Amino acid sequence: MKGILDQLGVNWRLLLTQGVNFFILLAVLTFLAYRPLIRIMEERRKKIELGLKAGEEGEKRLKHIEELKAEKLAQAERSSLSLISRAEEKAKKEAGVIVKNSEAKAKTILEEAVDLAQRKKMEELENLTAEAKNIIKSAIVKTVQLDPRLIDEALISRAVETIKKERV
Amino acid sequence: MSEISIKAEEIFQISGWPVTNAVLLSALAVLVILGASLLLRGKLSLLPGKFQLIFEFLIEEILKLMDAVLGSRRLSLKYLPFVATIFLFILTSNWLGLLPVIGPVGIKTAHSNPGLVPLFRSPASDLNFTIALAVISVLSVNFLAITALGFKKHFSKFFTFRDPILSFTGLLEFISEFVKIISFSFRLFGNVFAGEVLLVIVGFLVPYFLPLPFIFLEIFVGFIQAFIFSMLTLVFIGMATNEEPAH
Repeated sequence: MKGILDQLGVNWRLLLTQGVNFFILLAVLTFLAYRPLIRIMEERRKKIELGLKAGEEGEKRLKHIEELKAEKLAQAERSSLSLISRAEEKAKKEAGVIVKNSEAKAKTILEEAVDLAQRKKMEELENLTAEAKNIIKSAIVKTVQLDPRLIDEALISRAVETIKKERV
Repeated sequence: MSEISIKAEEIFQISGWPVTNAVLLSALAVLVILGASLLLRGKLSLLPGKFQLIFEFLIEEILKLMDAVLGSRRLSLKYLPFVATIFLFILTSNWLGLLPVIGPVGIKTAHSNPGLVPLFRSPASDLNFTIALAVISVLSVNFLAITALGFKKHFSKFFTFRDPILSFTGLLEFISEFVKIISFSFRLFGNVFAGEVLLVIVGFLVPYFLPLPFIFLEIFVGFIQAFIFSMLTLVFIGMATNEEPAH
């Protein structure tokens, strides 16, 4: 057996040297490469996971905000519509009241105007009557001053004309 | 044509401790990996560069393979350093051994007869390297199984008196642990040594162009052998740390 091993060059010292070489490499790689590399890869994986989670959460929140926005908009639309309809109703009511008031005022003004016109008419009539009386009186006076024989219609007319001119 | 020797040639001694050309290249492989690790350590960042990406890709692929065998990322992470180191060490050694500067650089030693002795030799073409790795692999598998299952439970796989058939298969399992060392070491040694011999012969017979495809073949063989060695170790770890008996 020893002869075969010698022939193949197997030597316990060399075996040990190669074994030591391997264990040095194992230690060096474990502390310099595997552990730091795996730590970094794990850290990156966690960060990516965290980022994805945050992204998903952000998306959810955005969706929720969008829903809230839509709800608020709908609510605002509803309240604005009700406000508008209430305002329209109120405006209609106020317009009715204004129209009523103005109709009443117009009626009053009209009545006052009619009353005034009536009074003016009566005044004018009174004035006219008084004037007619005066005219007739003047005409009678003029007639009395003239020769009854000469009294004719033409004369009377002339007298009336004169009086008219005087009045004007 | 350089002499083909099944033994690695001794280059010098350090206080009676022999240093062969295979040990030298193995040490060089350790230095290369150490240098790469230091470079990687200095450049580690959350936003990886090209160099870090290569290592991350390698580690991620090894972890995926380990997940498939062990069935758990936790176990994969636990055994990653051991399996990945075996793979990287064998791969780097095999590929360094293929560099054109490795073979022709010779040195005159006290033991060498008239010719020069190659300064470097592919470590896996020396049985000391492959046997050392095989012994480490088999012992580590058993050690990891003991830490995972406990001493009694692990060795009850080999030595059981519940029934004669199980006792016999257990004994066979125990013998197979030693056979694994031979199988591991001679597979790797045979493949790499045969490749070296092939390259030397082809290089001698047809020095230009023809060796190139063979070099590519050896690059592939170097990778495959590193992969097989580490995968077998992984499978044995998976089997040994599993509660279910393998037989």
